Amino acid sequence: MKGLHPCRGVLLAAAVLILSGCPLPIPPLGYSSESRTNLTDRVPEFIVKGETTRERVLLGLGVPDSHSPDGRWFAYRSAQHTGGIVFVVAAGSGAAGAGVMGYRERLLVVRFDANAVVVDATLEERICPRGVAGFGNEGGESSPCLQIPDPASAGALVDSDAGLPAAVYEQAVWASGQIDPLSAAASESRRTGRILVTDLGVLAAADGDGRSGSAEPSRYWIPYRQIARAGLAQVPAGAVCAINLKDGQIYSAAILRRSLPLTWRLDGEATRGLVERISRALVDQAKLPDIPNADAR
Amino acid sequence: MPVLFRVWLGAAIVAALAACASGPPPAGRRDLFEFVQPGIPRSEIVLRLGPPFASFESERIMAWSIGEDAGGYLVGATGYSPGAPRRFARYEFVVVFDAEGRVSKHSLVEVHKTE
Repeated sequence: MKGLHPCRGVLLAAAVLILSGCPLPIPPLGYSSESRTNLTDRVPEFIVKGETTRERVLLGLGVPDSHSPDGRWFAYRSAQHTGGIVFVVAAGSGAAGAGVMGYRERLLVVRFDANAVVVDATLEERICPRGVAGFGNEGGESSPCLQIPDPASAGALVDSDAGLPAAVYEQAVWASGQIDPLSAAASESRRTGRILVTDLGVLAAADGDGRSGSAEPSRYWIPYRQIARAGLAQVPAGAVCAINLKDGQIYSAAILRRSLPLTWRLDGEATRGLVERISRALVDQAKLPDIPNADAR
Repeated sequence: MPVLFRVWLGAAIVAALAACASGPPPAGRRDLFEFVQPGIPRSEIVLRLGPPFASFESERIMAWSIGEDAGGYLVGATGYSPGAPRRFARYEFVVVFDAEGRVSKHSLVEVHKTE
């Protein structure tokens, strides 16, 4: 059941619940054909960090539900229907219903290093209630609780419960405005957090609740490949990654030449080393020669 | 109506109903993968099984979606786009090729066990 606008679904559900009579229990339906069944409640024993290869993971679990274009991470997901309850109303020639379905969701994410060896594997399991509503031939169901990473997104949000990438090369503390040239002088309420340069990308995390009263993520994951996609081809070796912060949150990542003023805003050896590391990682990712920078600071 | 004709008519009706009730003969084969042995070239695998539904590492690793009927295994036609919803057949046949494009390992993974 797809295609129902959320607002319409909520209104419909509310109306149906108010007007409805008896609830209709739905027995557990198990796995649908859109879910794999070969995930257990823990990371498979054959997956050993630093030993297991990508081909072994494929031979053991099959094709992942999602993966990065470069194969640096695989995501496997399953959803098992565990039962639910629906309130059904028949009116005239039509019928409407709304209720809640329970699903046991599992998400296994396996990350690989450049040699296709596992660096990290995490399995998350949740009991996820999903609201459902339908009227006639239209219907909708709320989204799964465990979302698989989208390989096409410009930057995937790291779930607050997920672990960090395995290899963290460097990290630095940031405060809002420290890096962003646009807000460097205008950060009245300074927030702090960490930037970690990992084997797979850059992770930024805000201290505290990290929400700033907005919908911005408190942790933001920017894989190198996605940064590279933004324009490394146009900006060859000597480029740096610029992470723009706003109100303590990363809102964009870009690649800029070192000659641009942006890098002059960097403050402190730690941050400078961080950007050097990002630059090297980006060059490694794109397999471009690391030409000495002619625009020395 | 002659008795013989009635018997014939009855038999014809029964045969016609039986033909309607039974579907096409099973297309699956129990020996579908017997030809897959180490050293078999990739081209032969693709010729026999058809194009894979997913491949990795520049086609060093390929996978086929495998269904099952009364006759045995059969290659399923399935679309695959990473991150998009997909329908699972019962198995996936994963083949790893060596640098020369010959089978080095293979595995039949049960990805969707029927309850």
